[in-house]
Amino acid sequence: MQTSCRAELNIAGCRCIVEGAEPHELRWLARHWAFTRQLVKPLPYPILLKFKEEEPRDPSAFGGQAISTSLPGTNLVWADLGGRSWQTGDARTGVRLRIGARAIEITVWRTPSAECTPLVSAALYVALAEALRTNGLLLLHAAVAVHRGRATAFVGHSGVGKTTTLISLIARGWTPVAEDVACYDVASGMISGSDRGVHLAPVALGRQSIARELWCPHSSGKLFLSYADLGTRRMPAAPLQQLVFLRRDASQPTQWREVTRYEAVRGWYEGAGIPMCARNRQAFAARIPKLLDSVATAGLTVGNTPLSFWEDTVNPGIERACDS
Amino acid sequence: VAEVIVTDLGNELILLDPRNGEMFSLNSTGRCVWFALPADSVMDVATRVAAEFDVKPEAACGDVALLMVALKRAGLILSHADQLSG
Repeated sequence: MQTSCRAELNIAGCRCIVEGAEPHELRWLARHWAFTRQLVKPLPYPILLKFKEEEPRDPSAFGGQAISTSLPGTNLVWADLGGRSWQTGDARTGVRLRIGARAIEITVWRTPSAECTPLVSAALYVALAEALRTNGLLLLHAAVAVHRGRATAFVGHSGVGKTTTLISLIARGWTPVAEDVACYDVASGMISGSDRGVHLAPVALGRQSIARELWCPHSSGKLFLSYADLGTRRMPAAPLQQLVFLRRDASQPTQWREVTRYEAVRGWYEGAGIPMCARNRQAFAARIPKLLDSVATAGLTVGNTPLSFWEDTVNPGIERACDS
Repeated sequence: VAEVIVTDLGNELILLDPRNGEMFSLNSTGRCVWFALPADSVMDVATRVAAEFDVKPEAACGDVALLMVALKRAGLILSHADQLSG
């Protein structure tokens, strides 16, 4: 076992103090959570992330109300330990999130022989997302690309076509910001990403035009292609102009559709996730009317015709607003 | 119910039950009913709605009762009896 160490990371402008992490765990954090963010003002709640080499408490002994958090392909059940503290885990690993008065504490238990399991990765995502929400930031499960200096975020469930849409936009000259997870600063309106390329399920290869030989196997089971190999570079951050809700319907042509305010609200909750903490829930619910005013929303049905050129991929109403 | 997340759009209210992810939309009348709760009776709520929309309470009572039954069935509100039985 390699030596554990203490380190300090910047996660989207949040100061994150990491203790007890193995070097590979630190590298994982740095690779997946290094969101670039234009710091407007210091964020109030630092994150204290501790890794412990011991077995977690038996999940069945947690007590408390159970709440579930949904991630693509994973549903985690957390024990609510009193409204500001939650814990999840199995016999080998566990994660506890506690929102304190001055800091957010995340504890990860894993036995010496346990690697960073999918449960830990998913639970850490949920815990760090809640930590960022407490600091006024939103994690969006979205593909984000920039055209004419403004960002459009494409949200939707796994497999709906976010990555293939992003690849199509890159081919049209758009600049990628994020492929799967983006960080949105509500105060500044800027959205940022941290990934290095696109990941595609093998079954989706046929929906895009890049040759199979150029893709590399990835540990997630998907295929990976770097932005460099796509002939582009990622833009660290951009102002978010539009949120597009993707859905797939092979019986229809690919087309834009208007969304109701109800659908837009649902889309924001699906894209950003439902906060765990009551205070964050109230804060997010209070922000949504302002988000509906400041970020345009539209629906895009990915159908049985190719995604058109950029003038058809930007909601014409938004494009006119930009030109005026 | 304390867990229900309320998003107020002004003339529309969106209710999200995080326990099952279900969302509900209430129009302006339904919004008025929601903000009249908690209340001791359907007539109390109907009286608030009637004042807001310039109708007679008796005229509003039927629709208010139907909405409250629907909200209760969806698990978004509790009756006094539900609360007492814990």
